[in-house]
Amino acid sequence: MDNGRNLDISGLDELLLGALTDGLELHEILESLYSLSGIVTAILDTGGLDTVCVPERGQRQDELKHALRTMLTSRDKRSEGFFRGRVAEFAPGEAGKGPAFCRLVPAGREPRHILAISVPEDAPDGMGKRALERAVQLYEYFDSVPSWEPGGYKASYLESGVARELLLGDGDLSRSVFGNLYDLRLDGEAGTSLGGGYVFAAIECPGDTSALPEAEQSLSRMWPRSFHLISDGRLLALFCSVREGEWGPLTDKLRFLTEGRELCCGVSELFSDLNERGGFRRQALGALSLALLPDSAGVRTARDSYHELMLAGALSQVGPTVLVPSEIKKLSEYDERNHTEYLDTLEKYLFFGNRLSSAAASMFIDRSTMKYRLQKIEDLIGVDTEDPDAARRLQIGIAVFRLSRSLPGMEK
Amino acid sequence: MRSIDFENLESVLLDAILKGAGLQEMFDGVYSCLKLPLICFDTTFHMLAYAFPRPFYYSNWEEIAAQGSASESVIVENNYLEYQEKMYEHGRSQLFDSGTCEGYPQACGPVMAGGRLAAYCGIMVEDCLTGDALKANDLLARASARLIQDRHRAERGGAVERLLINNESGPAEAESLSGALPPPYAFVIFSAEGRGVSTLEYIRGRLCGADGGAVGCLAGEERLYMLLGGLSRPGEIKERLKQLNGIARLYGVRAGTSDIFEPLEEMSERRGQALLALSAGGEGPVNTFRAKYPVIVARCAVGRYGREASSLPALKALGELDCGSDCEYMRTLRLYLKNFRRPAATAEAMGLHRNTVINRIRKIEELLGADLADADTAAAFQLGLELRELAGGGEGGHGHG
Repeated sequence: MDNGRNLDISGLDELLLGALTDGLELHEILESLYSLSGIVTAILDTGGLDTVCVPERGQRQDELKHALRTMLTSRDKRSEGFFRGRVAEFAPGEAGKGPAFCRLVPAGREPRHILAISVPEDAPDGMGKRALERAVQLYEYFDSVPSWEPGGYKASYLESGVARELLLGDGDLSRSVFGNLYDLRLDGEAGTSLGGGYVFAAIECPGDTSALPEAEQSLSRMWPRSFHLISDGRLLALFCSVREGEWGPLTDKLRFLTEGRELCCGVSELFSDLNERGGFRRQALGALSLALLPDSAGVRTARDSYHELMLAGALSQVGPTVLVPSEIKKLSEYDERNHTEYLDTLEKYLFFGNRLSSAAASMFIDRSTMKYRLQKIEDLIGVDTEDPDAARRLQIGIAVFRLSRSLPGMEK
Repeated sequence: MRSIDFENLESVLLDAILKGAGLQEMFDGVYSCLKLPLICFDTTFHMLAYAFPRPFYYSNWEEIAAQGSASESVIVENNYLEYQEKMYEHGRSQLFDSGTCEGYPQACGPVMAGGRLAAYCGIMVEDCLTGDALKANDLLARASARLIQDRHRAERGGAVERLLINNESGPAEAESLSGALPPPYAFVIFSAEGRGVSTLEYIRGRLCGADGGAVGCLAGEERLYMLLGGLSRPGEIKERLKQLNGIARLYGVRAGTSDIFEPLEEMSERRGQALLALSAGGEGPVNTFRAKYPVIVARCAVGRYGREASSLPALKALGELDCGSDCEYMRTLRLYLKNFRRPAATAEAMGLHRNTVINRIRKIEELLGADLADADTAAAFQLGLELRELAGGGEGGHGHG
C-alpha cells in the first residue's frame, strides 16, 4: 500500500464525498482511505474489543492498538482529558512512526466507542487531526443512518437426461443436446410407426409411493411403446404411437391398472407434436390433481374434465389465491358468518343459465326463496347477475374459488 | 471565463452531508461558493431548493421558484418529461442550450438517490467554464442525492419499497401505513410503454402527493407500483379510475389495477392481479382485474398449457367448417352461450330471426355431437371458445359486445 500516499487535505474531502455519494458503507470508506493515504483506523468499544479495524491486522494496526491500551490504563492527564471527550494525541514513535490521534464517539451518548487513527510519517501537516475530525463525523453519520440491504434471488435447475427431458422437459427437441439420442431411441424401439399420436399420463399413489415401481413395470407390459420415470412421488408416462381410435382403449387400460391398487391417474388429450409435450404433461398433472380430490374417479382425463382442468391450470399458473375475485370471497365469508347459502345459490342460478325454476328445484327451495336470495346477493356484492358479462365473471370466479379451496398445490 | 474552486465546493458539500443539513441550506452554501444560479426540483417539478436572485431572468426556473412547482400545462407543452428522460438516460450532467433552454445554457442532471430517480438539479452556466459547470453539477447532484436518501430513510426507511416490492411489512409498519392510508386498497401497476423513468416518477409524485390517498415506488425502469387507499365508496373507486385513465392517456402509459382488498398481507396476490390486468390489455389505457377477469383466467390457462394443449378439440372442427362459409357457427355459439342459452336474446344480439338461431344451434349440436342444454357441456364449450379466441383461433369477430 505504498502508492498514492500523497493525499492532501482537500483530496481527503474529495475522496470522502465521492465514497459517500457512491453509497459506500463506513468500513469501505475507511478501506479506500487506507489504500489511498495509508491512514490506519481502529474503532474499538471501551472494553478494548474491535468494532471496525482497517486494515484488520498488520504492524501499524498493532502499534496503534497497543499505544491505545497503554494510554487507557495509565492515569495521566492525557487519558483523563480523553475520557472527558478531548482528542488524545500520540507523538511520532509512540504509536508507530507517524503521529496518531484518538477520541471518544459519539460525544454525548452511551455506549461510546474509541475512534483512533494513525497517519503515515510522510503525511502533510494537519492531516492527522483533519482525518480524525472527518472520521468522527463519518462515524456519527453512519451511526444515525440505518443501512438498507436488498434481497437476494434463488435459482433452481432442472436435472437433465434423455428420458428426463422427454418426460419433464418443455423445449424444442431438435435443439436439445440429446436430440440425436431421441432419434435413436424412438427409431430403435418403434421404427416408423412412431409417427402417430402421443398421450401423457401421471400416476400417484396417495400416501404410499412404494406402489409406483410395480405400476411402472405394468405400464411397460401394457403399452411397450412408452417412456416412464418416477419423479417427485409421481409416475410419469409418455405413450407413443397412439392412434385416434386407441385413446379410449388406452384410457380403459389405465383405469384397469389403477383400480384395486388405489392409484390415481390423470390422462392428457391425444397430441401429435412432441415439442408440445410440456403443455400435455401439465394436462396430465392437472387431471391427476382432479383425480386426487375426494369423491373423484381414480382416472380423470383432459377430454372429460376440460372446464375444471383449464381453470385448475390457470390457478396453478399464478398461485392458488390470485385469481379469486374479491366479491366471491366476500360472499363466502358472509355465508360462513351468517350460515347462509348465498354462494351455492348464486352458483346454481348461473349454472342453470339464470333459470329461476331449474335452479330453485335443484336446491329444493321455492322460486320466491330463490328470488329473495338473489336480491340479497346483488345487494351484498353490488353486481347485476342479469348482465351477461357480470354473470360470466361470477360463474368463472365461483368455479375458480371452489378449486382454489380443494386443490392441493400443483407443480410443473 | 472563471474556473470553479472545486476544493472549496467539495468541502461545502461534505460538510452539509455530514451535518445532516437541509437541501436548501446546502444550496445556499454552494451558491456562496460558486456564485452561479442553482436549482433542484423533484420528479413532479416541485421545487426542492434553489439559489438565485429573484425575480430570475429564466422564466422556467422562476415559475418553479415562485409557485413552488411547474404547472401541468407548461410541463406538457414544453415536453419537460422528454428533457428529463434525456438526463436520466445519460446518467450524468449534460449541457442543455437549445429548445426551451436556448440562450440559457444549463448544466443539468438527474439526482439518483439509492438507485432511484429522485429529482433533477441544474446550474446556470453564466461566466464559468462549461466543463466546470458540468463537473460541479455532478457533485451537487450526488450530494443532493445523499441528502434526499438520508431523509427518505429517516422518514420511512424504504418502507414503501419493502411493502410493495418485497412483501416485507412488519405489523408495526402495516399499522402505521393503514393509519396514513386507510383500507380498502387497490394495487395499481403502471407500465412505462417506452416513456421512461422520468414519466413514471412524475406520475408517482402526482398521485402520491401531500394529499395522500396513495403510496408508490418504481420497480425497475418499466414499472411503477402503487397502492391506492380509502376506496370504500363505489363513487370513490369510479373517480379514482377516471383519474388514472386521464393521467395514463395524457402521458402515454398503461396501467392495470387489482380487485379492491383490505388485509395488507394479501399484497403479493393483489400485485399479481394488477400485473395480470395490465398484461391482459384492452382498449383503454387502464384495465381492471374485475373487468378483464374472464380474459385473465383464460390467459393463465393458455400460459399454463400452451396454445395447443389448452384448445378444446371439438371446436377445431367447427372452426374449420366456419372458414369460407358464412354460417358463423362460432359466433352464434359464443353469443348463444353468453346470453344464457336463450335463442331470443341471441337473435337480438346478432340481428337475426329467433328461428334462424334455433336451427343453427341444432346444427351446431349435431356437428359437435353434444347437447348444449346440459349445463356442464355448455360451460366447457364457453370456456373453450374464450381460450380459442385468446389464442387467435381464427374467428373473425374479436370485438365482443
